[in-house]
Amino acid sequence: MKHLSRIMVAGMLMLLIAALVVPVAAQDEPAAASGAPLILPNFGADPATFNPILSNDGTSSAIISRIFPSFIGLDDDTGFWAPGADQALVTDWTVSDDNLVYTFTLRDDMVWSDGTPVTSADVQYFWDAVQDPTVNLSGSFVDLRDKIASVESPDAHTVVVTFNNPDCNAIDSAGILQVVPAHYYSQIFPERSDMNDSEENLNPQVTAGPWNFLNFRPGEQVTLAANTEWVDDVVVPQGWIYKNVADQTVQVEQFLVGQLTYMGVPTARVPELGERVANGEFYGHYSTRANTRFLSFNMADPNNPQPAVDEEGNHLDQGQHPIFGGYTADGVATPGGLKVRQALNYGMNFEEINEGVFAGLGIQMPTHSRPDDWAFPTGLENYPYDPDMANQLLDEAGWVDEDGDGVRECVSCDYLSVDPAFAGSPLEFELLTNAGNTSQEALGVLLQDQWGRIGAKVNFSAIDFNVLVDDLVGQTYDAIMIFWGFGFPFDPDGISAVFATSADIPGSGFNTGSYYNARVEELLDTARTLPGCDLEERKALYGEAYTILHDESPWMWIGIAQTLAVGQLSIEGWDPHPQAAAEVLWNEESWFVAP
Amino acid sequence: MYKYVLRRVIQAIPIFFGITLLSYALMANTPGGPVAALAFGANLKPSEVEALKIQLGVNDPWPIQYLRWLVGDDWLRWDTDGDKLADRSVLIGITGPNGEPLPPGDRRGILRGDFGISFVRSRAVLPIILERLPASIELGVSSLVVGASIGILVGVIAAVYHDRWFDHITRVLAVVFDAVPIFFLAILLLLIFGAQLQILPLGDRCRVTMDPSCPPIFQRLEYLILPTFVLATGGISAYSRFMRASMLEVVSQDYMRTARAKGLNSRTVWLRHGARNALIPIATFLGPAIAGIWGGAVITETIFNWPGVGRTVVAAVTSRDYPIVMAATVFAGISTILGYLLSDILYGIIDPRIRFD
Repeated sequence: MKHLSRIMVAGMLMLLIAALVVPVAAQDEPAAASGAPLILPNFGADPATFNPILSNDGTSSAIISRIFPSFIGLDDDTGFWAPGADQALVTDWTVSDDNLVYTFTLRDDMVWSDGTPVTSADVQYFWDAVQDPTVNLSGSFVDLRDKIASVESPDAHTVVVTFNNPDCNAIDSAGILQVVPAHYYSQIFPERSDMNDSEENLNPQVTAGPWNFLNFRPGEQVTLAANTEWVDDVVVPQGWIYKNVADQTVQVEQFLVGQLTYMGVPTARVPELGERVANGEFYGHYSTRANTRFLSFNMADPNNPQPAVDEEGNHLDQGQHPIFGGYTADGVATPGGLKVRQALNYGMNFEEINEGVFAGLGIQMPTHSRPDDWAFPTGLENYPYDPDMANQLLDEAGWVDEDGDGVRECVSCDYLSVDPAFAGSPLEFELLTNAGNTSQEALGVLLQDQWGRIGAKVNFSAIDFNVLVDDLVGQTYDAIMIFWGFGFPFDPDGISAVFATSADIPGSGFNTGSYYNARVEELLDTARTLPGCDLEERKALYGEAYTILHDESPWMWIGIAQTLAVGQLSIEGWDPHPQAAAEVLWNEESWFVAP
Repeated sequence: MYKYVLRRVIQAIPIFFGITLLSYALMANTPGGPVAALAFGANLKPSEVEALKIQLGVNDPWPIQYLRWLVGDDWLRWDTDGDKLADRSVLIGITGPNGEPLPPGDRRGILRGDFGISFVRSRAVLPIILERLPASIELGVSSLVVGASIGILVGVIAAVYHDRWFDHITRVLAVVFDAVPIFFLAILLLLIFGAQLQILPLGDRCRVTMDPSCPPIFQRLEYLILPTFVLATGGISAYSRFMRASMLEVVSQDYMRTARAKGLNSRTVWLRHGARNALIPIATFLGPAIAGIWGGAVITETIFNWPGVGRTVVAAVTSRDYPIVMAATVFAGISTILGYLLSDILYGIIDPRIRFD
């Protein structure tokens, strides 16, 4: 009896503890739509469309990625495409022996906001639209027409993608297939071309994601509401508001007074906000996933731009750039131009640039990929700042300052073989960048000054972006400095299009500097099509290609400026994850901000 | 008067076409067209770039482009057999870059109410402009009313108290208002009243909520205070100086002396006889000012985060979005022409000596 009463007391104590603990534990997981809406600034134009098939701009993509599922998802811990990721349709895939056919299995628990199941038909609709010439397809998907032979949907939960060629990066191409509500689009767009300029694109009534579209106030904001029935997560904030803030000063001030939940800090304010983050006033996260700044040298005659090959594939004589060299009519690289390009690399003082332009947050880059990318070549070093080496290379290239005016002249430079009258011409070229970006403009001024110290006269101008692109694509420039985001997940093959002979066409194509190196093309092709796609083998191939590009410097890699994102301390759940596609916002659905 | 208005309207037609022709020619011949930037990120092939040009309608010489913008292209390339592919054309091509047949033209041109499709936004242009117009009119009208009423009042008082402290101070302030750049004044006021004192909103047209639109204007007047003031400073400065000069000129007129000699009190002399006549030249200001209401506040709209037309048009200019730029030109041209016409009519109403002959 005594034993029984002890058991009863112990039982009652346990019940009491459970009664206290269970509700507290339950409170750890906030209820759906219980938090205040998240307000993020959009420093840019209004979204153009919420139709994934047509979207070309970042603002639209930010919304689309939140209201539509992706086909394949990225693993938040590795940054690689992975089956079974949140908000993604693919749960598994198999690859045929010849690496051409990918069979994807789709999940069966995802539904559109009108209750219709998400199926393979929704991927099929997208592919049909890609192939339809009457659809004004987003530029992001144009390449798919060349890479993918067919997309088939044998049943509601299987998609079979057949590629034209074996490609170790095939999954990157499959990963960008879109999932759109086929039943709804077929209804509102009787002809697929009806979607091209339809107002319905800005009023997506059938979606499937953690957020549902609520409204779009032009010039003001896009508002999404929590999808309280979302299958993958409990969506805690009531809503997600993308607020258009057109002025950066105002954006920062609105954040400081608490009107914005989160923002990326404008470069000029990073030191100030960084200090306040360090003082514990806000959450902060520094990211290296920033745009790479680089400079493209034109290695052909800018006065007579020509494609690299004719229609039969025969190399054409593109002439040479008087300073940056290029190739003889026989396709042999001119040594003097190479030395000039290398000299300019040695003449760049990145430490000075880092302090003057990047507020100390810059990272010099020896290539376009970052050290944490899998294909980054081990041991590849930056060009050091070495003015003596720069001067020596310029001397060797036949550029000497004979008249003592501080600017070198062509004494025995390569271009004399093209035009003997070029003798005595100064080492003078035009460097262009896009106007309106203060850090790019400051970078240009610093390079102008630094290269002036090694005897190069640089005429630097910041010009309208459209004019800059015309000059770049038209191949009528000397040197152009822009920046480029190489995407996430990192595509090691992304530069194939930049340095391929086939992409050297004035008016289109990325090989605007007319660089040509058969070994680089061979290495990139082999790395892309390697049987078995062994990662280490591919890394070695890419490493050799990147090293050649670093040494021959058709593009001069400058570096990146780390970015700072800040969030209010009122956010519960702030947990930046550097490997996730959205480093800070990867778990935004679980953020709780008291209403 | 009706004949006069009709005559002016008829005279305005060639002016309107002249404005649009000149604008289109300037825009189309500005370096850096829309295609390179649109195609650049996508790494398109030459044939795809050409197809994009055809799709946007910028592959033809600019006079043809202008013609297409003006009267459409459904009569330039059309389908006779009903297969939805063009089989007849005049002035423009009938096939694409690879020889493939093109669809018939479907644009009707602005003369038939079709302002075209935005190159960047893939939407009809008219709704893009119209959905931003209310915000612009809100800000434009309020700044015009504030600018004109304060400016005229200050000008009258400054003239009445000519060479006294009020006159000196307002003249200095007028110069200051004119000299201080709008962006500087706007940022300064935002930082003081919005960020530091936090007594006025830090930009925006209304509070951020999940609602589909802003509440009625009377529920959010505080959002109008700073942008209206900033935008009105130019008007206050101009109207006050103009009104002051006009008043001082009127003072020396015979009828003012007569009024005083009749024994009228100063208030009646200044306001009924002085200010009323001094206002006549001000009428010439109002017409052009009305034209500026809807699109004249780009900087103010940007800094105060005001969702008006001005910001949209500037973005369109930088991205070479020709249809939006041209739509703005049409609106600006029409409102300027109507503004001046209104000015002339007002002039005639205020000054009985003017006859609409």
